[in-house]
Amino acid sequence: MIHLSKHQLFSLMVLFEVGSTSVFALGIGAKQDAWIAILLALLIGLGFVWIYTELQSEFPDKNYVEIILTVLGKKLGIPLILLTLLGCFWHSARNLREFGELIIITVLPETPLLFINFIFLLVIIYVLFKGVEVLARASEIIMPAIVVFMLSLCILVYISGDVDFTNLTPILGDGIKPVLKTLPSLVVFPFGEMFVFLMYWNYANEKKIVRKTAVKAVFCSAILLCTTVVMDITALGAKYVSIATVPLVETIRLINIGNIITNFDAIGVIIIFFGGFFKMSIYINAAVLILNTLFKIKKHNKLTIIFVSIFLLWFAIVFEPSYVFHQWMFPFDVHYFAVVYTNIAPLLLLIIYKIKRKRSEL
Amino acid sequence: MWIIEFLQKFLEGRGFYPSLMVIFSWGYTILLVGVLICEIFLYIFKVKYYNPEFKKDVNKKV
Repeated sequence: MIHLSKHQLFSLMVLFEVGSTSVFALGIGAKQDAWIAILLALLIGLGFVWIYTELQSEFPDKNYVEIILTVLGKKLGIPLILLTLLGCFWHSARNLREFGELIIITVLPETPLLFINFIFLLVIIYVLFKGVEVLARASEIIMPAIVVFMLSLCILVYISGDVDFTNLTPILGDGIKPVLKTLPSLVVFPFGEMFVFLMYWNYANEKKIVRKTAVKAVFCSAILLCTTVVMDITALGAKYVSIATVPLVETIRLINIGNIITNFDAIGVIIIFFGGFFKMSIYINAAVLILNTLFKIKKHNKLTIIFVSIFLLWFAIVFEPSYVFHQWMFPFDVHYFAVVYTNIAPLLLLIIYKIKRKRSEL
Repeated sequence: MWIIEFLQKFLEGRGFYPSLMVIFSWGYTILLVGVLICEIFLYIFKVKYYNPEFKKDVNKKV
């Protein structure tokens, strides 16, 4: 039986939230007010964390698939499980593509994408073969490194003299409309993606601390993301951040303290890569868990991991012809289908469950 | 049919998988909202939900 401590869950959730979001300038649609949009999305995101954890607290020993089957039954539940599975495939494939492209853009421009993705997946397969507990223990080591790196990055950029806080002004210069327009996409990505932990929370040592840990993790990661976005905007300006392929790498390239502390981008990319690794691993393992629970596979867990990984390797390249297409798809997927399985379905599931419960007590 | 024309226009160039996801997810949401409305009506008319397995699972809340 797998057991995860509250610290392990916290580290996994923080790394998952920070994951690939550090690659993008989150909420840059709101220009210099991106940080306001992130903080507002955090408030709504915390509401959804309450919904997910409420669902989990009603069924402490069950994962999301089992919860769906209990509440909706097989006929109605299986389509939602399949939708969630397809969602996990979509997000992991996009993550794989993002990080493959990140490596090509920044450090290995001549290497084929397929080869980078293959190596990336091999490492993930290895960790998942070892089990979720090993992944969680690794996250305990990596999480502080990423947090310290992000914060020291801010300090180094500031010391380099590239920070101009006037780039954050005028605050709400175009009114609240751009902030509200960016808000829905931020609620889904990254805060709504927390729904995937409904597949992990049943492993918690202490079931009572799940909500508290999830709220803490989401809050800390949102503050970290907010700091990163503020750093990007103050160093590069909102206009450049919105058109840069990987704004964080552009910011890291600005670090130059007396021509001694400079050329940090390679280290930066590796650190960013860690976030992507954990996010991918969590999504792939969730997909494997969904398949194993749905088809009652107990013996061939490793085979499922390999099957899912091979599918993702093919998926990440076939379904996205280029990185431009990948970026073009971002607001579309979040607005038009990810919102269903991340936010709408868990909310409806909770309401249906509450009504059914009341009816059973009549 | 106007809905097919709308979907064709809306999903143009998005590819097979995202199109499938859009149709599947919103179709399912409509179904789930329908179930929710039915549940509300059944609750209003005090129709008891009888499922021993469901009741067994319910009493485990933390």
